[in-house]
Amino acid sequence: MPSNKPPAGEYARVGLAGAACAAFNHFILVPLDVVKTRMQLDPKLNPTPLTTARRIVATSGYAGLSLGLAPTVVG
Amino acid sequence: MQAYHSVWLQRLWGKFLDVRLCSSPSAISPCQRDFPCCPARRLCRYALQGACKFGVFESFAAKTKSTMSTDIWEARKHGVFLKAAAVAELVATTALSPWEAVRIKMVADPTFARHLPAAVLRVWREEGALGFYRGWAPLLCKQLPYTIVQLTVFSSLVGGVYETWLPSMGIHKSTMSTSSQLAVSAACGVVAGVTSSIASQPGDTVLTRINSQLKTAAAQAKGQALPRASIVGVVKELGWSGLWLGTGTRAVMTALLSAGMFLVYDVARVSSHAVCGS
Repeated sequence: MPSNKPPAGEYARVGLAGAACAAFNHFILVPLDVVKTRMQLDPKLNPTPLTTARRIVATSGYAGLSLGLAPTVVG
Repeated sequence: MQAYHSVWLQRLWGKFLDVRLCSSPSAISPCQRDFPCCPARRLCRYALQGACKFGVFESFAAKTKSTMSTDIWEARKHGVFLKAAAVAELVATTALSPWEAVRIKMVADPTFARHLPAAVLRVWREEGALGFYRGWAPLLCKQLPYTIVQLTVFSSLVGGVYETWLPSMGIHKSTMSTSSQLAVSAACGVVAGVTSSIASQPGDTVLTRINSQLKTAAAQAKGQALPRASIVGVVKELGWSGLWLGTGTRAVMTALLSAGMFLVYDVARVSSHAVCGS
């Protein structure tokens, strides 16, 4: 049974996990989110995930995958 | 305690609902303008929503469990998870909706207000209390199926794995190492993520389209009252197949998100000593 008091270092661990997750978010999840959103908004231009990602990189570079128009639109 | 941990939980999946003012595409870099308050604002949102979602879910399920005998709980627990998740998300969405309404205005029109309090005041002045709940229904379309499926599938799956599947192979939770328990959480998280992303996909597509329309309208109207975005209109325009745009991409994203979220949730649960579930 865990004691009622969290073990020392637990907060640091949770904090570190959070930091790791935020980094992970930026490199993996946000680009996926951008691609998904583009596909939803303009399916004719963006038929598959791969073509969508290529289009974004071609038009606005790799930054477009993380800082594009799309994430600001996502609710 | 719950709220504190939920801040980090929400960091994981909160990118969906992020206050992404930092990445607003307008020419004058809003990132510079908004940078000092961005992280704080995000943190507030995550804390608010996480506290609502997980707090209500846990306490609802734990309270119901305490009123039932073990046999009845076993028979009814899936239904209880379902109801608890629905109530939790209803509360969370209602709490989140005002932030979301203000966020869309600020993102769409950088001149709308200099900072959050000013934006809140302006919405209040121009549209009244209803202005804060404009996006409530579309948000609910996505969030309700998402949370219900995610929490129900995860809770039921973890219960099944520890109570039925692993014991049938002679393995018991008490003898398992921490890392193998975390692996169970991650695996169940992946399944919960994929199923919940499919369940909420139509809602997500509708929400994306509506937000995009509102954004365009807000940019054109420059702070004038926005037209009512219609869920029915968007569904008609998209058709059945259109509702499933981006399903695969979103499933991958949600699976990763969900696995990570429940991993952190596990760590948080041990330290916060939550009563319910495993």
